[in-house]
Formats: sequence, structure tokens, C-alpha cells
Amino acid sequence: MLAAYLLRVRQACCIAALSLFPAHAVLAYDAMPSAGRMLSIEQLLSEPRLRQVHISPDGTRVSYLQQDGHSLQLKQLHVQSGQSTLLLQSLGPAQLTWSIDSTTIFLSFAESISAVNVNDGRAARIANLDRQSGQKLRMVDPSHPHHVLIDQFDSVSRNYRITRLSRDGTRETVYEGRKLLDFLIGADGKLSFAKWLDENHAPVIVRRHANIWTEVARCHRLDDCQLVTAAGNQLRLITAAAADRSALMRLPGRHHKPEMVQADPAGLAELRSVIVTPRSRRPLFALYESPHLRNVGLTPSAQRSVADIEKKFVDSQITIEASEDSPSLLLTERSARLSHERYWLYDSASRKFAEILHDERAAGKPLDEDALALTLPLHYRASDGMMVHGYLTLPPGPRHARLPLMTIVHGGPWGRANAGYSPVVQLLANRGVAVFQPNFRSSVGYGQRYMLGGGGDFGNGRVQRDILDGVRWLLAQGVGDKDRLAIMGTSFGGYSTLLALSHTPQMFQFGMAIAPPSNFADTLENIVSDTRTEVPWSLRLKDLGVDVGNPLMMKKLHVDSPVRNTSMLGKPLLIMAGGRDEMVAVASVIDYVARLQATNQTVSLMIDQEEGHNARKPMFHMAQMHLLAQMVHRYLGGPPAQLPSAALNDYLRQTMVLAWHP
Amino acid sequence: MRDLFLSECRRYLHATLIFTALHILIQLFLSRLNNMLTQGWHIQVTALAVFYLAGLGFALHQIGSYRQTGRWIWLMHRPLSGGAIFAALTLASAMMICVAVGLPLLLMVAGTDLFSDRTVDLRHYVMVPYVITMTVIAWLSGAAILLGSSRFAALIMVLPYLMLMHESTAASLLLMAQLCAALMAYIVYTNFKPNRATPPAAAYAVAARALPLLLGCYLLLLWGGLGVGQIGALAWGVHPSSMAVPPVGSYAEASRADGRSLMLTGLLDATDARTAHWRRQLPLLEVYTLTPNVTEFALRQQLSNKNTPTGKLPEQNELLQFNHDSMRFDAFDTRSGALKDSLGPGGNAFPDIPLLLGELVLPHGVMSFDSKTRRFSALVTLGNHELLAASPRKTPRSVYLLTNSRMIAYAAPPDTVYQERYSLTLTGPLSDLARVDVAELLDGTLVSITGGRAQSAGASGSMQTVFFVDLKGNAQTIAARPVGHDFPLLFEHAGWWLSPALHALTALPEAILPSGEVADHPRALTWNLQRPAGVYAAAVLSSVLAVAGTWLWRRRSQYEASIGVGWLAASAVLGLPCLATLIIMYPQRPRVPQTARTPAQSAVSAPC
Repeated sequence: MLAAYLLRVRQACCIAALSLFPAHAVLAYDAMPSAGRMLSIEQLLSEPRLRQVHISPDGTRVSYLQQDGHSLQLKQLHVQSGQSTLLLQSLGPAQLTWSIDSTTIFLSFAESISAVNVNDGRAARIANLDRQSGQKLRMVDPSHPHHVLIDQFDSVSRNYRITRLSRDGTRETVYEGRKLLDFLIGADGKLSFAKWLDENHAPVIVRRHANIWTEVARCHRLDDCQLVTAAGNQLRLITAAAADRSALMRLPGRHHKPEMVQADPAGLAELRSVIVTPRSRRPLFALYESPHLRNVGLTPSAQRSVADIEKKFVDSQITIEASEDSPSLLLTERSARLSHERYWLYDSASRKFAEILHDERAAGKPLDEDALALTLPLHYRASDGMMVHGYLTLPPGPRHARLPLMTIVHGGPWGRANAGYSPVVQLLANRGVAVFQPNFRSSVGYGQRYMLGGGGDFGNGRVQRDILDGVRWLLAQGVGDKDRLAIMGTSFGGYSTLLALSHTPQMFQFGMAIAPPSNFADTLENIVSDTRTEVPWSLRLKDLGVDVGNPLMMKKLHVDSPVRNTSMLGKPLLIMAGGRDEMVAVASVIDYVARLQATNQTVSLMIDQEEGHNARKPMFHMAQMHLLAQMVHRYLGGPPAQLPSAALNDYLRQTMVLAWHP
Repeated sequence: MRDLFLSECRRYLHATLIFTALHILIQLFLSRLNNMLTQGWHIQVTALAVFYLAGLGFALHQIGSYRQTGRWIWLMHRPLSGGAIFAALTLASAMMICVAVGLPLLLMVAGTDLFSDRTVDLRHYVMVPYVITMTVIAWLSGAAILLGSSRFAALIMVLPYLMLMHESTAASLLLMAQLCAALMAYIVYTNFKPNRATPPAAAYAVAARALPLLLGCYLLLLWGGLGVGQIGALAWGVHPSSMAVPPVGSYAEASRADGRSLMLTGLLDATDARTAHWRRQLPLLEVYTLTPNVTEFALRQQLSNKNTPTGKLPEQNELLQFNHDSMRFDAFDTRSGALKDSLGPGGNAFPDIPLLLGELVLPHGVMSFDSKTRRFSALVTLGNHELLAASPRKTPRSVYLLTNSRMIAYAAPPDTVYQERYSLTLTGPLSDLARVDVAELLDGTLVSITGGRAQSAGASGSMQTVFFVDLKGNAQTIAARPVGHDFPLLFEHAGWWLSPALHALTALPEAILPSGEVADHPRALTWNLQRPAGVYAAAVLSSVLAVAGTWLWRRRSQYEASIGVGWLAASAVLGLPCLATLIIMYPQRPRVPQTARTPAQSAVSAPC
């Protein structure tokens, strides 16, 4: 235990030094020797047995779903006694919602909603959901004791409806009319504030007074303007401050400007969400994601709680769920080294922590934390001087300069990497590979200016340079062996991988691209033609700095595109694709691979005809990790890949349409 | 005649009543289990076989009792003409069949119609006289077998097989069955004479007796010859379907290949500059194959239930049964059996009877059904002359339809009308089309259309043609190659050269009966078979051999005088089956046994 703790602390110190000190600090790092245990892919991908862990509004119970064979059991933990009782079994995947009076749990399945009385365990289906109209359980009704709100939108009649559903199945229409993206329920059980899109597809905040809606604020299309809570005329919402990072703001009235309530004290991250009490919707905590999940207390009591939590959980990230009248907070602990989340109860009165559901979690066989590597944030200056953020995961060991280094580029490009548990990252670390995950410009979570900083330069330009600058910076800091670099990614990350192998093949030894566009211009033009989205893609892309109608911008993308530069690709490449990918047509992937073959490039191709853009099959992910381990062994000198299971072997035989050609 | 009629009725009175009672009980029992009127056509054929066997057994018992020479002479030596005796026996049997078979069936149909919500159509009422007629035909078959002078008399059963084993409307099949019964009755009647061994003298009686033998011999020779050929090829390991590697370029190779391999084969001789790029892509691509799997649609008031759709709506606990009278779906509650609804497009009748193949496939279009709104929506509507020939094939990018003249590609936004992107005219008749393979590329689509399916029936000129269709729908022929034949020409055309006239005659019922067949478009293509010269030569040779054989047989037959110019002419027209018929009808003269040599003669001739 002590050794493990020392390892964590020393590793954390070293990584923190990356952003503060030059290379000598890193080279001085001498971590504990590796545990040496090679984790299997199945272990790394193992699913937790606990899901949907929620505390009741009165704080007396914690409900959860527990995997039982192929089905789920609904159970509740009595906080006082620490005893768990079974409420239902043989369930399918469901969302779990507590009623405000803590007497009922609503289970929302794909096609129905059931209500379970927690006192006697009686359950009944109370509604069938119409999937065609997107009917779903939206939220618990804070104004009624045992009710939830469901909403639906008929795309033909353009009618949107919110219905209050009681635990006995009785219904009451709360709202019918224009489509709402967000809303708040007042104490009278009626909508108090709502958000809809105007004719320019920009969010508009409206307030209901005497059944008349009045506009109180208008947001930019890039600004989500998330409604948090309302008290009389006053509205609290999450919106961009100074057209950059989102923060908790107060809107005193119609003709007032929003006032800042809470922004990231570190001046780095956007506000992800605000944790409120279930019934009174009193804001308690603000949650920031960058560089890792951080809570900020919004009341003195909450601030004290946060201080306790930060002291207790040094390496972990905590999300909080509050109860209404009880001092109990449900804490969910996450980290790069926690393959399964861990649950705690924190008593804000006694300021004590107690782990809950320990045995249930252990039954899922989570990986030993000490066998996993820490993922820590870093930032570096790009070649144009801009500070760029990212994460680094180092395998235990002293000689970082001789480590193979894998760069994992996230998709989107308007997405992000985070410091949570990732089976792929941990696989690589376990095989002795350092992992760099840049949050290059265009990534979300750092504010609009950062997101738009790339200027839509998605060819072999600014965004790609942010990624490569990060690799070079790490090499300069003494992390990674310049002769053992590789790059991989999904979707845009795959495209970036192809760009890297096409334009900078001397840097990397191999690339692995999943669902990669071989010409980003074509992909952008393709998604612009998709008319199914709420905000047209043409507008959204323009807001994001990409003008599909700009011939110069598109021409540069075409010229730089990997498909136009197949002869330059000089390193082995593995591509994985889905036959039902609507974003990146499998035909474009095959066309690209055939062009690579024409220039005698080393390329392998795996296609699962049933998968879409975001692969869902566990077997697909297992294959991805197995093939990655093989490539790490072959091209980066990693340990030999473990033999695939019979099922995986069959799957690979079916899907590997272009076999390995070393 | 009346006495004979009544006497036969009295003779089988108890048996008829017992059969009737049992039949009613069985129908009642089966009706409690299920709606027998809407059962699949396999069950219908099984039931028909049971009735046929009952009729056959009845004839074997009844006519068998008169078959002995003494009893036959006793029967025929009444003060009645042969025709009256035949009429008395036949009418008595037909009446008993009406009671034992028809009455319970009628009770079942009418009872189901009047006392339940179950679907009962007009065709179900027509089914009653049809089954009676079929049972009478079975009785006539039995009578012909027993009274015939040859063991080949059983070939009379070829007549109902050829005339009635077709999918058609109840009314037309009833008419055809009555025609068949009349023909068979006449054939049996020709046997009602004291000496049954003597062939008839009158020309029309000879023709009637010869017809089933002609058709039977034709089918026996054809099927026997083809069967021996196929088994021989299998035994020698040279059958294209069983060879480990089928002959290069053959139809067997095309039909056994997967889509990728077939398309690569089709591109072998392509000269387009893009071919190399396509050839590299094809092993990586998913190639989708369409086969003409819809060969016929059900007709309105079709006798059998083949292709009449039934379906289930599990969420609504409903069973859908198509009603030929209303041309809509009857929706029944699966728990109570009560009729809940009648479903049709826009509340109206369907123009044709649909097939349930994922979507509702009609002869001239495709519809979808939303079980929640209970609405039918037209996805595709084709022209009046174009018939669908395959179920829709969905790919991630398109939906493909195959008709009897085109392959059509549609963009298919979910739940909306298909948008046609392009279509390709079939390169040959649908009846010869084996498959269409489609590979979706980034910049277009490769389409391979391969013929050869009708080669075994004598079609020639089958091709594999590969097209490239760009994203705007412009098609360009990339390559074409002939598809080789699997069997020798004489083998594939055997049905024709053996006897062109009988070949046409056997195809006649199918041609004249109303049919839901997905026919070639234009239809002339089917009949425009170009037969090679060797096949014509074989037909002439068959004819010459038949004439020569007839001439030779005439001299050896005990009925030399009966075999005149008419038979020679018939042999010339009908070929070898006619010769076989002649041999059966007019056996050779019995050989006079040589007198045994006496011992004295033996002694004289002995060397010692």
C-alpha cells in the first residue's frame, strides 16, 4: 500500500512538473518499477456491475442497478442500516429516477416507464413510450411529490408536448406548442422559464407570465444557455461569459444584463453543470471538467464539503449528487486508475466519508488501481505561441526518454480528451507505451475562443500542428523515443492520423485510424446535406469557423487531404470502419485503401458491416485493442500481443478484409 | 340404368354414410384447432392428396369387384348399352362422392362463414365443387387403371397432373378440372365393352386412349433421359454443380460465385482505365446480390393459399389475414379470434394481393405498414407493364428493386417515398436472369447483371454485363462476357427436340390459365428462343426414327391392320413418344412356340 501510494505521489509530482519545468525535471523522475503484470484486454474492458447509482431526495436510501448475469436487478441501500434490499430483478437497461417524495423510483426503459414503490416493492408499468415521436422521460417533477415529466415532439405536426405522469399512470398536459429545448418548472407546477430556438436557430430564453411568454435573453448559437434554477423573476443559467467560457450567471430581469455568479477560479475551464437540490433546486456545487473534474461550492456549507472532498480524494475526480433535506451527499469517484467507479456517502454534518456498495463493486472485479497508470494534465506552447492543453499517461518506470509514445487524437474535432479511465490508454500504458492526448484547438471545455482558435484550418494546418507541436514538445521534455512514435484516433482523430502519416511520415512508425474521413472536405459537405438536425449543419459549421461555401477553404482541405496524398504515406496503417457509417461512408474508406494499395503502401483494413460511426459492439473494441497491441509489438517494440480468444479470432477472420502486410 | 344406379348406391350406402360422418367430425375437429380455409398451400395439397387417394381407393374397390372376366361379362351383358352402364356406375359414384366429400366441406365453409368472424372468400365456396371434381377424377383414374389392358394405364394420372397442378383462380381451375374429368370419363368409357383387351377402332376413341399415354411417355422419356444423364454426370464427377471447381466461364461458376468473385470475373476483360482501382476495391467491398426471388403473385380468388399473405402484429396481439373478397387485411384478435379491423391503403382495397417480404411487395409497387398508426404508405409505384421480381434489397446507401425489365436504385430516406436515383434495363429476359450484383463505390456503383438461369430450358445468348453508374445516375457498360452452358445443347433442349408438339402441349395449360407469374417484359422474349441447328436436326431425327419404328412395329404387331397412315403421320409429328405409345397400345404378335424336337430327331442328329 505504501509503495503504491508513493508511486502515485511521485508520478503525480513528476507529471505536474511537465508543464512547469523543462526536461531535466522529467528525466529526474524515477518511478517505482513496473508491477510487470500484463493486463488482458478482457480485464481492461470489463464492465462495472453497478449502474445508475442515485441517492433519494430525503437522503435515506441509495438506489442502484446491479448486473445479474445478462439482466439487471434494482436494489436499494438503506443509508442508516447499510443493508441492501432487492426491489426488482430480470430488468433490461433502464434510467433510474427518484420521485421528489422519495417513495417511488421511476424506471425508464427504451419503450416504457415503470414505477416502483420502494416501501413494498410493488411495480407497475405506467406508460408506453412512442419512440417515433422521441417520447422520453425528461426529468422528475420538482413541484409534485411522485411525478415525472415526459416530453415528445411530432416532427410532422411540429407539436411539442410536456406531460406530467403520476406514479399511478395518470397524465396531465403541462405544455403544448412550440418545441422547447429546455425548461424550468415553477412551484405552481407550470413552466416558469423555457428555451427555444428563434428563426435563426439561436437559443432564446423566455419567461412565462400570465400564460404569456416574454423573451428575457437571447444567446449565441454556440452558447448552450443551460437553465439551472429560477426564483421569481430571477433566473440562473450557465452561459458564456464575455463570449468565451461558460459560467454560472444570474439574470435579474428582462432588461438586465446577466451577472456573474460563479466562474472557474482557475480561469481555465467552462462550467459543465451545477448540482442543485432535487426539490427546491438550490444550487450547491459548480462542476468544471478541465483539466479534471473539479467541484466548487456555491454555499459556505458546500465550500466546506468541497474542501473535505479535495483533501480526501487527491488523485480522483468526484461528482456529487445532493439530497434535499439530508446532510448526505452521494459521491461518485472516478479516475484514470479506476476501471469501475467507486461510491461514497459524505455526511456534511459530521464531515465523514463512508464507502458504500463496496462488495457489489468488488464483485465486478475492478482492476487493481496500482496496476493502472495515472493520466495527468499538461499544457504546452504551440509553435504560434498559443497555450495548448492535453493529457499524458506514463507507464511506471524511470526511462521516459526511451518509451514508445502514442498520440491519441480525439474525434469531433469539437470534442475533447479527459482524465477519466480509458481502456485503450491503459492498455498502452500497461504495454509500456506513453500516451499523449492533446486537446488541440477546436477542443471543447476551454471556452469558445480556444475552440475557435484553429480558425477552421483542418487540413495539414493549425490544428494538426497543435498535435504535432505537442509531440515535439514532449520529446523535447525527454518523454518518448523519437524513433518509436505512433498515432491513432477515431473519426477526426483518424483523419488526423492519416494526415500525420501522409505529411509527416518520418515522425511516426505506424498509424491506426478508426472511421477516418480520407477527405475532411467531403465529410463536411456530406454532413451539411443532413437536414435532420435541429440547427442546420451549414450554420453550425459557419459558427465553428468552417465555411463550406468558401472555395479557398475547401480547396485547401482537398489539397491536403490524405486521399490526394496517398503516395506520401510512408508508414504502416491500420484502418477500422463500420459498414453502416453515415458520417464516413465505408466506400470512401475502401476507395482510399485501394489508392494506397496502388502505391504499394502497407495498409490493413477491418470492416464490421453492422457497425456505424461510433462502434458499439464490445467485440469491435476488443478487436481494436488486440490489433493495437499487435502493432505496438511489431512497430514499437512492445511485448507480444496475447493470443486472441476463439470468439475474437472468429470476429477478426470475418472482418479483416485486408490482412496484415508487415 | 336406374336400377344399376340405385343398386350401386345401395351397395355403398353404409360406407358413404360412415365416411360422411367421419369426415364431418374431422372437419369439425380441425376447425376447432384452426381456420382450415387459410392454411398454407402445403396443407391444402396434403388435404387434396387425401381426397384423391380416397377417390382412387373407392374406384379400386368398386371397379375391382367387376374386373374379373366373369363378373365383367355379367356386368356388360345387361340389357343396357356400355355407355348406360358406365353412366350408371359413374353417376352413382359421383353422387356418393358429393355426399361423402362435398357435403362436409360445404358445411365447414358455410359454417365458418356464418358462425365465425374468420375470413371466408368466394373462392372457398368454389373450392367445394373443385374438390368433388378432383375426387371424381381420382375415381376415374382408378377405373381407367383397372379397366385398362396395359399396366401403363396408370399414366392416365398424367392428365390431372398436367392440367390442374397450377396456381390459378378457383373458377378457372374448376373449369379446367371439369374438362379434365370429361376427358377422363370418355377414356374410361372407351373401356366399357365386353372385350377390354381389344384396342378401340374408332379414330376419336384411339386418340382419347392414346393422349394420356403420349403425354406419359413423353414425360417418362424426358425425365428418365435427363435423370440418367444427371446421375451419370454425378457418378463420373463431371456434373458442374458437384465439381469442386466448376468449368471456367460456365453458368455453374457464375451461380456458385460470391458477388465479389463474380464481379471480378466480369471485369477480367474490361479496358476502362479505372478497372484496376475497382479490382483493388472489390475484395474489400460488401457486394449485394439481388436474385429474382418473386416468381409469382397470388391472383384474386386464387384457389390455393400460396402467396396469400398472413402476418402478425405482436404488440397489438393481432393476426392479419388477407381477404380476397374485400382485398384488404382482416385483423383478428389473437386471443379471442374476433375480427377487430379491416385494413387497406387509405381505408380502400389493395389493387393486387401483396407479398409480405419485409415490406408489402405488390406486382406494381412497394408499400410500408406502420403498425402503430395502422397506415399503409406507398414507397414505390411502378408502371402497369412493369412487375416486381424481387424483394427490396436495402444497403446503407440505397434500396434496390428488380422488376421484369429493370434494376432500379432508390435513395431511401427512412419511412418516406423512395427517390429513384437511376435504373438499368435488364440485358436479357427476366426468365434468364440469374442475379444482379451491386458494389457501392465512393464515386458510383458497379452493377453486374448475369443471365443463364434459363439455359437448362434451352435459353441461349446469356451474358454477364458489368456497368458503372456514376453518382448522377449515368450508366456506362464496362465489360460483357458470355456465360457458358453447363450441359450439352441436346441435353438442355431435350424437352423440345424429343417432341416439339408435345413440348407445346404440356405447356398449354400453364399458358391458358390465368396466372400471377412475373413474366418477361416484353413477353415475346420468352418465346423467342433461338434453337441451334443441331437441336432442329435432333428433332427431325426423332421424328424419322419414330416413323421408321412405327413402320417396323406395324409389321410385328398383332393389330397390323389398325396401324395405318394416321399412326405414321402422328409419329412424324409427335416423335418418339408416339412410337412408345404405339408399342403400348398395340403389342407385338404373340410368338408361336417352336415344337420340341422329338427324341428320334435328336437321335438322328446325334453324331454318334
